[in-house]
This record gives sequence, structure tokens and C-alpha cells, in this order.
Amino acid sequence: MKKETKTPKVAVAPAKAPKESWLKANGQWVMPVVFGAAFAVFAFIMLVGKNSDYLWGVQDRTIFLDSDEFFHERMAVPGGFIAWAGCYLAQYFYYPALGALMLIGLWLIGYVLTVQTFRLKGAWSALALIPVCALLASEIDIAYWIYYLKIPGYWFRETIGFVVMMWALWGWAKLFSIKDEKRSLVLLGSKSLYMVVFAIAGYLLLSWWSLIGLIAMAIIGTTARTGRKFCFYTDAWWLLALVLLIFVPKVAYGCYSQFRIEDAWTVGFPLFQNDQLTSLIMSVPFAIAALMVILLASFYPKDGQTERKVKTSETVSGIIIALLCGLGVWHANIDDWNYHSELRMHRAVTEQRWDDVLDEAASNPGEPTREIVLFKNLALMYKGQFGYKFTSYNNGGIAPAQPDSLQVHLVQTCGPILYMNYGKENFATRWSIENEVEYGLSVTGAKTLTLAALIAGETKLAKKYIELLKSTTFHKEWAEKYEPLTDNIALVGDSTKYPEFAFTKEIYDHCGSVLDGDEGLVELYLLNYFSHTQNKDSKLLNEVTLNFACICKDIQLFWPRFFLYANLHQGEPMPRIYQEAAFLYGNLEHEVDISKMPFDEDIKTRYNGFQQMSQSLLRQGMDASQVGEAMKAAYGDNFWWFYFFCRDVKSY
Amino acid sequence: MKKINYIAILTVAVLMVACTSHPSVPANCSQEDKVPTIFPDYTEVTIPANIAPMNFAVREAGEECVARLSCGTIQQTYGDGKKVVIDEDEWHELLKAAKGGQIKVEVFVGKDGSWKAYKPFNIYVAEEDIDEYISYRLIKPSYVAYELLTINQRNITNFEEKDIYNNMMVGTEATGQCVNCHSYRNFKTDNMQFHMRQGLGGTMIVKDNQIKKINLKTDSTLSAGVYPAWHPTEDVIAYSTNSTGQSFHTKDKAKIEVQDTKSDLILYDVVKDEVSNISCQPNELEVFPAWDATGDYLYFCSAHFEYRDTVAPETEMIHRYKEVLYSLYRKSFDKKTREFGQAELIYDAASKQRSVSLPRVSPDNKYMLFAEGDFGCFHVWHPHADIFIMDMKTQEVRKVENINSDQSESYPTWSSNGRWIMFASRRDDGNYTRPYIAYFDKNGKAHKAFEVPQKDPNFYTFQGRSYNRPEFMIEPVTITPQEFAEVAKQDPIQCTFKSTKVSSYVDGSTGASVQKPAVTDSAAISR
Repeated sequence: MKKETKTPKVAVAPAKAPKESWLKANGQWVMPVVFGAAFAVFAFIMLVGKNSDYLWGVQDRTIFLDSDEFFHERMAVPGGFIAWAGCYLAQYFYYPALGALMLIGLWLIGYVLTVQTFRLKGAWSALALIPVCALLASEIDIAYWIYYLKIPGYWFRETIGFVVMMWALWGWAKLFSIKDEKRSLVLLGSKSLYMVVFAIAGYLLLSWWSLIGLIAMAIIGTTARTGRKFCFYTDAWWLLALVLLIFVPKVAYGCYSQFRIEDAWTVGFPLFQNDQLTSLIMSVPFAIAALMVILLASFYPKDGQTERKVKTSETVSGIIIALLCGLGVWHANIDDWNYHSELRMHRAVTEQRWDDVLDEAASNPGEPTREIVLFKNLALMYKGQFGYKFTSYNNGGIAPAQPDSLQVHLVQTCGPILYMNYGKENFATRWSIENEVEYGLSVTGAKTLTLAALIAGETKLAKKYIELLKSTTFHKEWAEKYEPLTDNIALVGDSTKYPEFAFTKEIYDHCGSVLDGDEGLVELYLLNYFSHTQNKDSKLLNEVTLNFACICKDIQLFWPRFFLYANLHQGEPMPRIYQEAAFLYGNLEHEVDISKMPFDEDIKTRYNGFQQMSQSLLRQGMDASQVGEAMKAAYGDNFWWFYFFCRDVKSY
Repeated sequence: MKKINYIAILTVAVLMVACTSHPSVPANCSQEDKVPTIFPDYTEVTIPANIAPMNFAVREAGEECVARLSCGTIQQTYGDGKKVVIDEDEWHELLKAAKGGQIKVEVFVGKDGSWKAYKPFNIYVAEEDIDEYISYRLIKPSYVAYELLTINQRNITNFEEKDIYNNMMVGTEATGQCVNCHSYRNFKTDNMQFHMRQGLGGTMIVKDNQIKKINLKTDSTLSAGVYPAWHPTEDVIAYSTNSTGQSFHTKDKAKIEVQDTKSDLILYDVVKDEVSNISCQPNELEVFPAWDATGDYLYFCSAHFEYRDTVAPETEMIHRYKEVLYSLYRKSFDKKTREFGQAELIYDAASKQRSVSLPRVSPDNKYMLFAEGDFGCFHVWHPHADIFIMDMKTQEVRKVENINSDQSESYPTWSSNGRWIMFASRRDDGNYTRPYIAYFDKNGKAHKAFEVPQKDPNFYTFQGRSYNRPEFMIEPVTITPQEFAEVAKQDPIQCTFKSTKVSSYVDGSTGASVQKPAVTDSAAISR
């Protein structure tokens, strides 16, 4: 028996309870709000701050048509609804900030629903950031897949799928929060009906997200089980879910005719696929988002488990999770200068902002891609400055920086718009349609088809594409601008009213028609076609052919086009680059007597300097590439440097 | 009680929305001295009494329209913005009343509150019905790439359209395939076929509703079967075999030339899975077989083309593409021995510097339709191609009146009663083929063609796929796309080649008889 010890009674003031930090007291709701707000700001920076050119490109590479046909085409496969809605929302990237805000708004709804559904309190709400950050990463990690995606409405559809699924899960969780001690049959029936309706409607509307939701529902339903023994009342959710998982896709296969039975359980899951590869790495964000939902469902807390104070360690863990999410997104983001530059240049070309195209090319800090060089050359030709400035820009070309093994081809990224501008309207039409067949109709495709049809005088065809564009939200005005031309095609040649056609129309009108083929190599085709074309009726076409002969570095092709240029431009100054080429070729081959040609003195002097410096460097034991590098500062903007040292450029 | 009221109100509201609105004809309107421009153009066309509503959009300046359709005592108005969408039941009632007569259509267009009344036009309703179903391949007008390709069937008495076959059910990307050339025996679907190329390629044969997948390519033939023709009574299908290439016009509106560097004709025995040669002359490009109604003659097109062998055949064909001119031939067919007679020149288009393709004999054997253009055989891309007709008795050929346009017309075909002609035309926009139907009366005269009606009058504007090879059927295909897909994924049955008797051939340019080389059995070649 314990002996009771008496303690003397001392009058002490009641001990103050240790003061809780404000964060600990309010952490249950503060942390989710902080994480949500931080995510919103971070997502805005990543989307608008770092990717607004890309977002504009997204709406340019997709399309939403306000027509029954467009709706029915999307609805031909399970998940068609989110594809249709995705297409609708993606058009708001026309104003990148607006589209981004819509996307962020949906993610925040998804985040709140995740927090609420899985009762993530305090810092644990950081776990709800994982799916939305995965979705954010999926927006900005695709790089050149933007040209090759076969997933209509991609940029919103998975987000919508996720949010609607989470909303359904939230409703399911609410059903399970109803006290059911008497195991009411009405409630049981309601739950069963809820699951069945979700499985069927969800599959039709959300495709694969509904199957993830179904698994999560079964897990949440099972958490009510107590003990290890099988409990029909709770474990039956697994049975029902399994039956629905097996049979809903199977039955749906019989109702649709646009997917394979093998794909019935993965239909709609974003696959980055073409006939050469399936890039699984690109699908990882969606797998993460889906797995996270299942994982959170597995830790679904029972009632009363979550009502407790936030521990400091949990707060730290939450912050670490949030930071890791941010790092993951940051790492996924495509920050390649050339990639973004191409997107900006493409837009500038479509809007015929040639100075901006040239500024963009000039601002390139490294080696450009061929697309950048091709756009730059087009801009120079449009402005009639090729003969003066061609070599003032970097004319090299590196392969596009693509994080996976996707093969990028110019004919998909910029082929149609180049062909259209160079008057090869049939080829522009061909590749616009080939690309449409593979990757879907796009705004840029429809516009290129319209302009190609107008230049070729195919007014009925132009009218068709104009009608399509008139049913878009943000490109109506563009379509209406060109609509009058379909009734009066002569206006295409009216350079006062429609100056944008002048360059292309003149080339188109002066080129003949032959049976030909480009083998999908747009740059080589343009080089071959124009460097072998000769035309004395059009100053512009002659200049273009001379330019391409210069790019080809083909001496035999150069001379006839050069002489024709000289004849057509008598009394005008000969552009520097043509002089440099002629002076070089004359000295190299001596087949053409250049002694009486009135070269600028500066050309002769600089050529001698170039020769002396290169000889001197070679004597020092440098190889060709070292010589080129050493001479770049002094002679990099000369045709001679381009001729000798701009080598091994590969088109793609 | 309240609940019942709500339900009643809701029901009425739903019914009101569901019912077609019948706008009233404007009381005051100015008169326009012209027929309205409508799309599709259904003015003064002749239609069958069982066709779906001829919905159209008014393409006149204005915001709204009203159309009054009347026949005798029946009269009804329609108008939804600038669209005229006719209730199906009301339309069929109207057609019943107008059979053998006409429907008068008055169009009123409203702009800024004032209305214009246009000159009325008629839609004539023929006595003869049309086959209920048509089928076609839907394909983007692309050149090399293909992704979603379907063969569809449409009930043209209403707007129901279904897939017969969808290649996305079988494979995509590397396992994807191109589907083409569906055909039926005697307009019935229990015996039909279509072909698949690449991926899981093969020819899908339906014999008495049983599907099988066949590989028609043997060591002794050029390719698998391409352009088919079911014999009307025998279990045989005539095919062309083709070695096809394509090249691209840099400027010409035709945009593309599809050419055969070689082509022959083969006969496939559906029961024995055996193929044999019909015609395989070295300097002849034989293609587009078509049986007459009795199956006693096989008609086909053939171009005499002698390679100069200075460059590769494909290159030479590109250089000389305008020299490839197809004329029309026929061979008699003995149903018992399954032997063919000598080739007879029926229509020497080549001598007129013209080229024919896709012949189709009418069900009464009196006429033959075909597409004719300046050169070549792939007239779907040739704006110069039109539909021509031959009187089989007199062999007189003429361009079919009222149905051609300045764009490509091709793929002509007959309805089972021979009173309706269907063909593919690019007249809408020059690039997308659309199915057009024309009445062909007892006097052998064609009437103005009409575009197959759609529920949404602007459908063809937004539809980005071409209608290829439109065919009439008297019944729907009952085999599901899923059933076709299942067989399509299987390995094909390999056909055997049966050597046939040497038969003579009339050379298209000289008229001289040439000997066809004997071909050995493929099994012997492959050992």
C-alpha cells in the first residue's frame, strides 16, 4: 500500500497553460490556405511568366468550333465530353493570362476537393498539391509534342477529368460521413446507385479518370470495415467496383466504334504516341496524379481521427512536400530558348511582323534551330534585305531540344506556313491537311488553308475554312477580314488593300506547275526548287531564286541568277552579300571574269583581309573549325565566312 | 399536388422545346426577283418520295428566314435563324402528298426588321423510291497520312448514320491501316467486301453474313485486290491489282496525281479462296472491273502505255502522266467454265484524248455510267472529270445532262431500280467530295442532282472528311464494327493462285491480238 504523502498547501497562482503558437492553433485551416495560395502564385508564374508564348501557341495549335459536328466528333470516344470542354477552354489561351487563370482556378477547385474529400488537415494538405502540381507539370513539359499531340483538348481535359472525379469522390465521401449505425438500406441503395451512376456516366464523360475514381471509391468504402474478417457490408464496395470496372468498359466497347477492346480500360489516358515511339515519360504526371488519389484514399481517415493539433514536424514535412512539388514542376518546365523563340517567331510570321521575326533571330544567345533560320530568311526576303543582312545572323542549326526521343520535323512545325509564304500553295494545303489528319485541325492550320486557297484562287475552299474560323471565339475577326475576298478574288492581288499577299502572290503567279514531291523535307525542297528556278519576269522571284542559290553555296546556280539580277536592277546598288558571293566565286573558280565587275572597294579589301587571316591561322596549325571560330568576330557577317565555316547544317 | 403541377409545367416546357416551331410568314415584305441562294442547292431538284427532310440554309443577307413548303392543301412553315430544318414526320407527310408532283418552296428573309420574299422554287417528287441505305468511306482529303478512316452507312430516309467499319478499332500508329473499296453483291449486304492495307492488312469478305479475312496477294499477282466487282450471281469477285504511286502538282488545282505504273485484273473465287488472272498484258494498265447486270460481261478500263525505259517506270509515268488514257473494254464471261473471252474495245476514249474510269452498268443493262476526264484514272482529284453515260444498245456516249459541274465528278453508281444515280462531287468547295444523287427518268434523262440531305444544313461546311465511293444498299449492314474488328485482327487466309488458259487481248492502240503469257501456280513458284 502506498503511503500518502502530504504536501504543504502553498498559495500559488494557477499555472498558466503554455501559450500555443498561432500557427499551431489555426494550422488546420491556415496551412491548406497558404499552400493553395502559394500554388496559385507559383502556377501563374510558371504559366504566364515563363510560358505565355507557349500558351498562345497552344490555342493556335488547337481549335474549338461552335458546331454540332465538332461536338459529335469529340463524343465518338469515351471521355469525349472532357475533350470537347478541353478544346473549348483551351481557346482562352488566346489571352495567355486568362487561360492560365481558368486553369489555375480549376486546379484550386481540385486541390480544395482533394483536401476536403480526404480530410487532409493542416500541413498534410500539402499532399493535395501533388496531383495539381503533376497536372501543372504536364502542361509545360511537353516541348515539341505540342506539334504532335493527338489528344484533343489536352491542356484542359485532364484537369477537368481530375476535378470532376474529385467532385464525385467528395460526394461519395460525404455519403460515408452520414452516421449509419443501423445500416439503413436506403443509404446502402443510395451509395450503390451513386457508384453505378458514376461508373457509367463517368466512363462516358471522363474515361480513365472514372476508373481511378471507382477504385478510390471502393477503397473509401472499405475503410469502414473493422477487424480483419470479410465484412460484406463494407467489402461489397470492392465487389461492386470490380464488377463495374470489368463490365462498364466492356459494354461501352459495344456502344462505341472508335477504340480497341484492348484499350477499353485505358481509353483517354494521355499517351504521347506516334508511329515511331510511345513516350511513357510524358504520361508520368498523370500516373502520379492518379496514384496519389488512390494513395490518399488508402489513408482515408475514419471520423474523429483528424481533429487534433498540428505538430511542428508535420508542418515541416508539409513544407518539404510543397517544395518538392515546386521543384518537380520547375524541373519539368521546358526552358529552351530556341523552343520558345520558334513559338514567338511562328506567331510573328503569321501576323507578318517581320521586324519582330528578325529581332527574335538577332536576340538568340546561342545556336539557333533551322526553323529559326528559315523564319529569319523568310523575313529578310519579305523585307528585301536578304542581300544585305543574310549573314548578319547565325545561319547554323542545331537539333530541337526535345527531352525524349521524339523526332521533330520541320514539315510539322513550320512546313505549311513556309510553303504558303513562298507561294507553294498546293504543298501548304497538302501538309496542313496531312498534319490535320494526324494531329487534328488547328487554328493555324485553318488559317494557312484559307490563305493558300485565296492565293490559289480557290474561293469556295477559302470560304469553307473562313466559315470554320468564323465559328471560333477569337478568330472570327480574322476570318471576316478575308471573307470579302471570296466574292472578289481580284482583291488578293490588290496590294493597297491586302499588302500581306503581295510577296506570295507574285511568287505564286510566276511559278509554273510541275509534278513533284518533297519527301517531307521542307527546307531541302525549298532550296532545290528555288535555287533551280529562274524567272526574268519577276524581280522578286529572281531575287528569291538568287537568295536560295546563295544559301545552297552552288556556284553554277549562282551565276545565271546573279547576272539576271544585275540586268533587272540596272542602276541600282548591288547588295553586299551578292557582291561577296560573286567576288568569292570569281576568285575560286575563275570561270567567270569578274575583273570588270564594279565591286565595292570595301569588298575587295575585306576579302583580302579574310584570305590573309585564314591563311595565317591555318599556318599556325589551327584546323578549319578553329579558324572559323577565330575569324567569327571579324568576318562572321560575311558571305565568305558562311561559305567556308557554316558547315554540317542538318535539316530535319 | 404542387409536385404534379411542376411536373406538368416541366413536361409542357420540354415538349415545346422539342416540337418544331412554325414561324409565321411575314405580312409585309418586298419582292425579290430571284430564287434565293440556299445551301445545299435544292432548287428545282427531283427527289424520291422516301428521302429525309431536305433541310437547307439560306445564304442571303439577313438574320432570319421563313420558308413555306406547300403541296395541295398541306402547307407548313419553318425557320430557325437562317436555317430551314423540317420536322421529319411532317416532311414525310408532305412527300406522300407530293409523290409524282411537286413541293412549292417560298423563302422570306428578314434583315433589320424588314423582309424580302424571294421567287418560289419547286422540289419535284418522283414516283419511284430510292434505296433506303447508302454507304461510303469517310476520309480526310489527305495524300499520304491517314488516321481515322471509316466506312459508314446512312439511312437516307432519315438522318441515321452508323459505322460499318472503323479502323481505329483495329489498330493505330504502326498497326494502323487504310481501308477502302467497299462493295456489295446486288445491293444486298449479306455478301460484301472491303479491303485494308498496311498494319493488319487483308481483304474482308462477307459471304452469307460470315466474315473472313483473305490475303489476295500471291507470288503471281501484282498486289492484293484493289477495285472490286462482285459477280451478280456467281461466288466470284473481279478485282484489279495495282502498283500505285502518287506525285504532287506544285500549282495545278488537281493537286495530286495518283497513277498506276502497272495494273492487271484477277478473279477471286469466294468459296475456294483462289485467284486467277483475267487480264495482265505488259503494255496495258487494266483497272476498274464492273459486271453487267446479268454477269455475262465484265467491263473494265485499260490504258495502253509503253515504257521507253529511259528512266525508272515511276519517274517515266510522272513525266508522261498526261499520256495515260484509259478506254473502255469488255470481256465475255462463261459462268460454267469461268473463262473469259477476248477483250473488246467498247469505247475508244483514248483516241479522243480522253480517259475513262469507274464504269457501272445499270440494273436493266441499258446504260453504263462512268467518269471521264482529260487523262489518268484517279478522277476524284481531276476538276476536268465529269460523269458520262453510254447507251449500251447504240454504244452512244454523252456527258450526263444536269449533273456535272466545273469540279471533279466521279464514282457514279445506280440505285437498285435504276432510277437514281449517285456520284461523288467536289462542287461544294473543290477539295472535299460529297455524295450527290440525281433522278434518272424512264426516258434516260438525268435531272438536277441534289446533295444527300443532312439534319444540320451547314453540316457539309463543318464536315472535314470526303465521301468516297458512295454505294446504294437495299438493306443495312448488320455485322457490327466490333465483329469486323475481331476478324480484322486475325491473320488472313492465304489465297492460292490458279493458272488460267491463255486468252487473247485486243491491243488498245493497234487492235492486234496479243498472247497472254501463261502464269504458273504460285505454290510452284514459292515451293
